[in-house]
Amino acid sequence: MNERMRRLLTRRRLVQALLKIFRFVFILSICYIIISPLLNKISMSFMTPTDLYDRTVKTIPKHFTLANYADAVKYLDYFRSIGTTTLLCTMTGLLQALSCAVVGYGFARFRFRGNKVLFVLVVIFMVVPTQILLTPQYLNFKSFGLINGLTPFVLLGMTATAPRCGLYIFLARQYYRGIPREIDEAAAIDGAGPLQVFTRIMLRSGLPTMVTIFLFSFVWQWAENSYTPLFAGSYPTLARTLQSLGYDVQTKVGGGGYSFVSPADFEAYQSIIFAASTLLVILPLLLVYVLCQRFFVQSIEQTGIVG
Amino acid sequence: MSGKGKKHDLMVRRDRIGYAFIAPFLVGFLLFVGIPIIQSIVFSFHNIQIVESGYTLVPRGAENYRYILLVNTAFRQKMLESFQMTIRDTLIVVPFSFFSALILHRSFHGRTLARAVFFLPVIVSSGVFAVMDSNSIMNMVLSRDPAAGAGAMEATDSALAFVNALFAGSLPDEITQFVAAATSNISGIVSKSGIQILIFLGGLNTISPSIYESSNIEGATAWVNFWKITFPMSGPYILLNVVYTVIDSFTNINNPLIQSIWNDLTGLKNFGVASATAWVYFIMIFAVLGVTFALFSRKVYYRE
Repeated sequence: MNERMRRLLTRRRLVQALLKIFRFVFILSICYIIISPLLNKISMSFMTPTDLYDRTVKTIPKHFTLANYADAVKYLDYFRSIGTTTLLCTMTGLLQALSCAVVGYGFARFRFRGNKVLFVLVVIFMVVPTQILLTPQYLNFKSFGLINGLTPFVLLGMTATAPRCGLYIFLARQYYRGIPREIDEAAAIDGAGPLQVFTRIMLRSGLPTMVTIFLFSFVWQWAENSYTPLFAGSYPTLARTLQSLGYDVQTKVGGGGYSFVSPADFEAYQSIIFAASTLLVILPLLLVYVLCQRFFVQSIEQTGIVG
Repeated sequence: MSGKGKKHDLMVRRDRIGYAFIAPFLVGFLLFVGIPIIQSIVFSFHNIQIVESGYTLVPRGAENYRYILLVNTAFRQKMLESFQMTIRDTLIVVPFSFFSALILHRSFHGRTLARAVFFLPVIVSSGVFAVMDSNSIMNMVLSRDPAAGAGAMEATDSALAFVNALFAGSLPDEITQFVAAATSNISGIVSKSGIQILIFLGGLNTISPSIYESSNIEGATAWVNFWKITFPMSGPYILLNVVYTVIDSFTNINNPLIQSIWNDLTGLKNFGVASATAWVYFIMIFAVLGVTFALFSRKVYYRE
């Protein structure tokens, strides 16, 4: 009996150790898969074009150079675009976080007539592909003379109808549904109006959710390049210059002072500049992500998204 | 009793203020979603010409639809491709993200860091970065860069060879090809799973630990716990993730049909055809979602 117990115990320990090793390997390999393209780009961005085709050069460049970054900054018009892009993304992020929190709060905490029916509108909005809406939206904005600048983004942000806002409203509603209704009742008896309850209690406790919405919205807007150029007119964003980079490098061949012998050399230079520029565009996002990461995970744990 | 009635009155009056909170969305929905939806339906029966002052509509009846469904053979081909892509994505991404969430949910050293890395693809593979990546792979293959283009081909080939060697003809070709494609494109799968992992993690957090405690006391093993507690209680999240993945895959910028819609739109010439394509496609998506719901929702267990 005792012998059997002991054998059972060792078997259990063995299984657990194996599971631990498996978990470690799994997490490590997935992390590697995620990070390796980034590392690849980083190592590429410090190479000269000759290094890229040199078979003896693997990860560490032979001719270490910072010139690619200097060139990329020039091509991207980095220091101007980063300002305009940050302005656009911060603005849309703040507007969307606030409007979606307000709307989500309205759906979650008030039992007015037609609440469920009106929420179906949110679901429809979530499911309708953006592509269907964009053309008419563009034409309407244009006929009111609102293209050229940030007005369309302000309008869509304020009314919680920018792309993906359906998901954010859903998130906020889910969070506010989790707060006991007794809090509202107690506050109402103490004479606080719903607006006061919202500004004093709900905005503050919902902060992690709003940070999450802000982060999502900021990140997606930062890299968004399908409708932003359409609505923003000539407003410069990093995503736009990044996408037209292939063209820019081709037309404005200052070539970083290299003289290219063959087209392959030029292609190598092009992909190195791609790498450096992509990193320059991602860098601010990584900073924002690291800053917000704590709130982000915390709020996901709180809401559980659906309840 | 009367006190309670009074409180009730107070709350009912209060509830009407809810309209004020959702008013911004209602206005926005009307102006920026409702009207555009109707316009888009109208566009799909017209040809649109851009003029100085705006645009004019030239009626075409159902011609746009006839063109897509009967004349344009590329449409059917692309539709088929996009369905295949969606089914493949859903079959792989949902189980993978559930599995990842299960692992990330347990506490271990460096969990915070691991989570931060797992959600990183949400950032680095969105929008223009996704376009850039697919472009650069295309560039590499096109320019016959010996290192990169061949590398990608080799990966699929070697995976296929490996799977073939393992099962040596005992499995149908479709399945071996599916497995090979899935394993050699693991980075694509990981980068599509970020949000789904988040949703599953949120879901796992809602399961009270006391359920596991009592079941452990009854002598249940981890295996039994998973199938009797974790899996059924994750039902709603699995459904949500299936729906999310289907939508995401159908409306992804790399989807062949979405690409053709974009091409028609950006040329500023084929607005009518693009709208009609979008609507046919949208109805198909709705049908798929409907079938998905019908299949799953009966089996999903809801706690409420």
